[in-house]
Amino acid sequence: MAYSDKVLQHYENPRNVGSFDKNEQGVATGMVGAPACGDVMKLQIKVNTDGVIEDARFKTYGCGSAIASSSLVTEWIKGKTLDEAMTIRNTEIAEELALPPVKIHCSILAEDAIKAAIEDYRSKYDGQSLLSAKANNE
Amino acid sequence: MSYGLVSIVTVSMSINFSSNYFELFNLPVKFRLDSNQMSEAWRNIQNMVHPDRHVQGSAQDKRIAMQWAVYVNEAFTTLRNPLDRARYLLALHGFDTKEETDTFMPEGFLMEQMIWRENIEEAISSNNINELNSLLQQLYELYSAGEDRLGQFIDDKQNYIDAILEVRKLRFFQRLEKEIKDSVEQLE
Repeated sequence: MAYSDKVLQHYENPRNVGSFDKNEQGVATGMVGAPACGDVMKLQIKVNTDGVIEDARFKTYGCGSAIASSSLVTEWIKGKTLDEAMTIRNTEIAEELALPPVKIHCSILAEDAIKAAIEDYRSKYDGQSLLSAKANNE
Repeated sequence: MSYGLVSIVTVSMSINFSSNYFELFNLPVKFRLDSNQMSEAWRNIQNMVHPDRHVQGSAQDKRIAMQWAVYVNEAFTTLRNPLDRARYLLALHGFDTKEETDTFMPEGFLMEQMIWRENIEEAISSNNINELNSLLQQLYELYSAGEDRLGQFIDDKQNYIDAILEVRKLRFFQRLEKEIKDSVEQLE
């Protein structure tokens, strides 16, 4: 199957591959997997004391579209607040990468990975703890 | 070899097409099925609907006989494959395994999947066919244990939620199996 140029760009030169130390302050991890294709995606975010995602890393085992989808979202979520990142929809990812219908599940995987990482962040840091720590210091 | 002429009416009365696949073959609605019993049920019904038995029927009879043969084939294929059988049973109880749409899996399981992929990649990059075959054996053991659990969850405990998760896990294993086999083929 032919991949779109944008998928190829990300696939051949993926952005933000790797991982953070999961115990580092502000780091949270989202892991998701799609049984139908066996793809597994790990997305990590590093959130600063302003509640903004300042960095992201991913590791994905899957097809070119899955790798491109995760690479793209690491770029998109950087600089966004958690609430803003929550609004990213798989349809936007699919559109940006010109994914064919059979590869839509790759974009769903990427959207769900963002949500899983944010959920992990919120459960780990109890939502506001970093912000309140900052407020206390000021 | 000649077949006796069986009227379509007789066949349609002896096979209940509104029943589920298990009832169609007179099999218990269970995950654990006896393979001899299955083969026998298959022979009985296939013999009845086989198109060769309707060679002397009208064009419409033949067409209907063909549709039945296709339906019975599909039913048997579903029941014969353990994962398809489990999905079918879960669907009968109103459950969908959502393998296409639901991306939530236990984190520990996904970590293991990552490690599997890393081990496979490592074996490929070092041209280690023995290692790949050894991974394949480990995978078969996990798979077979998973099938045993499916029997427990569905037949013994009616625990359909855990059965769904087990089907989803086995689907990941199938993917790993394909990946390992493809790699072995390429290295050979």
